[in-house]
Amino acid sequence: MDLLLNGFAQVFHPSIFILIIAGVIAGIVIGALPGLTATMGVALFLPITFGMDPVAGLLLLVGVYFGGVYGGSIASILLNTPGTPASAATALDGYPFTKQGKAGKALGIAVIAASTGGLFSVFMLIFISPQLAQIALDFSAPEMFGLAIFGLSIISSISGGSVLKGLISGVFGLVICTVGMDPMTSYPRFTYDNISLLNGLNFIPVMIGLFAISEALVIMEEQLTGGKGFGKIIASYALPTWNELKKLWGTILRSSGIGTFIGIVPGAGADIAAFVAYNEAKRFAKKEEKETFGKGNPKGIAAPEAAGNALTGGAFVPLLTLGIPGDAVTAIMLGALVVQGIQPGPQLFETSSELVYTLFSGMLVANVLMLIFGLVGIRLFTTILKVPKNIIAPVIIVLSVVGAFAISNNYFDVFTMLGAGIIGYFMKKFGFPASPIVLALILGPMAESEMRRALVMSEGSFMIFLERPIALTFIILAIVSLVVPLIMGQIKSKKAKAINE
Amino acid sequence: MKNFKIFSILTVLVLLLAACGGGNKDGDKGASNAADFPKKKFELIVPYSAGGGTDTVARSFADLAKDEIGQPIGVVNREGGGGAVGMQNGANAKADGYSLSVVTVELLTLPHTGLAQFTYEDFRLVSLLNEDPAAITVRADAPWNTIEEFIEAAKTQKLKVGNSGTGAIWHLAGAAFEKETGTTLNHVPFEGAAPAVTALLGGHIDAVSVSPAEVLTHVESGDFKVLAVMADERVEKLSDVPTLKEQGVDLSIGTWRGIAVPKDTPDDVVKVLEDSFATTIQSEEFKATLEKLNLGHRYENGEGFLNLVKEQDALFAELIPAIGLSPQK
Amino acid sequence: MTLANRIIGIGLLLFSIYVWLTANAFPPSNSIGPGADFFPKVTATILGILSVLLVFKKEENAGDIFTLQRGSIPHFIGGFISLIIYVILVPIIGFFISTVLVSLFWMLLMGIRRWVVLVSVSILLSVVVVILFEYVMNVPIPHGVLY
Repeated sequence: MDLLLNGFAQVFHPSIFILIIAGVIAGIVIGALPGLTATMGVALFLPITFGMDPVAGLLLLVGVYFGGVYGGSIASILLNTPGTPASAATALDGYPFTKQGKAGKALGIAVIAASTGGLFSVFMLIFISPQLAQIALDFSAPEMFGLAIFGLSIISSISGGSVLKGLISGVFGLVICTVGMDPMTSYPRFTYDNISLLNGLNFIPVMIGLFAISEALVIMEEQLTGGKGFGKIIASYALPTWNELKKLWGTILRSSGIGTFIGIVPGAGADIAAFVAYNEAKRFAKKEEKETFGKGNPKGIAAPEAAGNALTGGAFVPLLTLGIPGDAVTAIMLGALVVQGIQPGPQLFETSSELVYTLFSGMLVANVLMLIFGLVGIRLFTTILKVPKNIIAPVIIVLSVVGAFAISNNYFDVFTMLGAGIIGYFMKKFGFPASPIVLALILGPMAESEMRRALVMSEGSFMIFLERPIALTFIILAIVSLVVPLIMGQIKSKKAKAINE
Repeated sequence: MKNFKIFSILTVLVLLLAACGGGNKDGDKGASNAADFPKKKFELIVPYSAGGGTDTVARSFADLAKDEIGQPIGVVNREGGGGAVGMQNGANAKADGYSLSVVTVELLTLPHTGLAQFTYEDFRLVSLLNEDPAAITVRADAPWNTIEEFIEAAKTQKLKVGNSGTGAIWHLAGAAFEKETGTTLNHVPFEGAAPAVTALLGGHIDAVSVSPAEVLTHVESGDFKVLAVMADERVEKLSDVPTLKEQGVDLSIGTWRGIAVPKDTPDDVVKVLEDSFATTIQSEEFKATLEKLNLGHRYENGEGFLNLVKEQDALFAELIPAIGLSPQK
Repeated sequence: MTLANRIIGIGLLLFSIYVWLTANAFPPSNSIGPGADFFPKVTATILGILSVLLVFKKEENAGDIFTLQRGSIPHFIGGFISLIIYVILVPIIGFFISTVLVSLFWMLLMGIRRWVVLVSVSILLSVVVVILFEYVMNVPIPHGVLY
């Protein structure tokens, strides 16, 4: 505890405090722009920190990381153009809120859930990380396969109107993600001798296309129709009331737990956490409430936001205790630590306890700052809704092109984005949801490579999935969550028919 | 009126931004000659993502080299195809000396696996930055204490050895080890070296064939032990670990990183770069950075670098088809 | 909607057959367990089954799919094509000029007629993005012959 107080004293030193503020703000901006994810933000800031004092440099990166994970949800809620893959889950219920003129409420719920999730996970990190670290080691190929399959089973619950069309979107995504070098044998599949396809379709440009470009086309169509039948969006700054928030605590806490857990698992990032939490929020909801998911249920915003940000603290657990990164961002953080001459691992808490606790205090402060900026910024963020839509549309297009290019400075990605945008527009028109494709592109490669890796480990025996309890649990959960909504849907439609007749 | 308000806000914003950021863009595209070279910003293409090991080395190099050469060096990450996209880009870049590329051992392995159209002859090699050997690392509680015991065990049972992906350098190292020692290993490919190390830490595999840099933290914490390194000489930070050569297995394999330019770059320009980079790479600061990253240091000039590449290319030309990774027709 | 579903379903079915056949031609791998063809085949098979279900599914008409009136269809197609041209043009003539052109054109299509707004917004958008990305964040943007 003394160490933590001492850490706070360090964090509030003006030179460091300003860096955290700068980091959080930069992170929020980067996250909100399409294509620029938290991972990229941290990578962009990394070289700047080389010359800094270790604590200052790391806390700047922490600020960018936390801000970036949250920032994605702003664009997602206001414009239906998720800035990061994780916030694609937030768009499901966030954008309907905006359409109903309750943008302020949605942003308020998002930032409160996000910082609560973040704080929850940092407390977990501070107090029980050695106990939690074991989770990271228990997860190997069969368990990761289980997690991926479980994640994929969510497709049926994020399908919106038609489960069949949702499943088609998802499975189409799974087919698409087999483009590129086979993860096990490196055989180039469906690459047509194009080196840009060797690593497969970069999924962030695909996501930008599916959401942002198609949204720009939809805006154009609406404008040309004269806004008929769409209703003008009135931006309201009204924050969520205490009564509204009270109903969300259960969801927020559960999602925070999910996020922290997924954060600890190496190789699973904020996107997976957000979608899993969304699904669980829906699963735990009352029967009549389930219907409102996807149409503007506050729990549909709170769950992915809490989980996505709770991931951050979780991802630091294996990084600091074992020297294993918990997600893509902490993988870059590992580089940052090493450059600063700090070797993460079991001995870190003894050799540099002061630094570790300053880092912890800085993380808590960064989450609180995120809450403050998020709430204060609502008025500023929502002014974007006052910009006429016929100006917003070209802005979306231009930012999408820059964002898609920025991922790996390969113009091929921009063509990928354009193709996905055109497909995405027609998907919207014909009632095919886009989120299942995004989910499939995140989890498909993981499912395939982990399954086959597990089989290499077991020398071909499928028993490896049944013998390992964690893997088996996930696989059973996956089957349950895939099959139950289908059966429920059948029963419901039969009932509906019976009533109609 | 509303539009006008937005317009004026944007104007102010632009002016502010222009004031602090504008003016340092050099549009000069004239031909260069050694006398006034360099006179504009360099571009250094890194064929891997920002934040990775190669990127970190490249960025610290760029940071130190800019003072020596007198012009800024902008790092551009062009990832994709296991390095193929970036290196192809680098080979096709303008041969004026301002387009530098980081090349890695994949410059040799990708063409042999049929995943790239270029060869090392499309580049003019300038300087070698570093070199890291492969190593055989096992858990500290593993029953094998020496590489002989490991080899003996591998002859009777199929040990699971993790690597960073099929056809990647650590897989090739593992396969070469298998070939040289007459053992049969179960190569488990991961997406990069880090997840392989994690799997070893969790006890899900028996060994990894990655570089000492990737495992050193865990060796120091007492979780792992390195049985042998696949280099000509012992590794500084693991001075009690024998090389395979000492154990009678003639195998040296590993990764390296260097700076290259497109093959048609004029000789006098290459000479300027080579001389300047020599000072940077051999500086104490650069050595210290590599040291912090647990990476091995080795400098060679253009000629020495080319010899190393030719020697290794012969090794891969034989090894890659032998393990069935050459392109299937 | 039902007719559209049938056409999409048949298209997807043909696509999945193509994927399955291409995957079937992958060389057998020498690694343990399922090879490179396994996952594409499994997913293509599921996609094929689902697309058959789509072909036979009856769906109530949820209003018109495209809300455009006859008169504005050329506008929309113009916007669509200009987007494609924009993406092709950026690497050739550079980000800056093409961005000015595409945003100008899109705003024109969507009924902005005041030239002050048209010119200022399109130029400002381009300038702000270039400065923000290239100079403030140091993220490269695509260049061509005309910057």
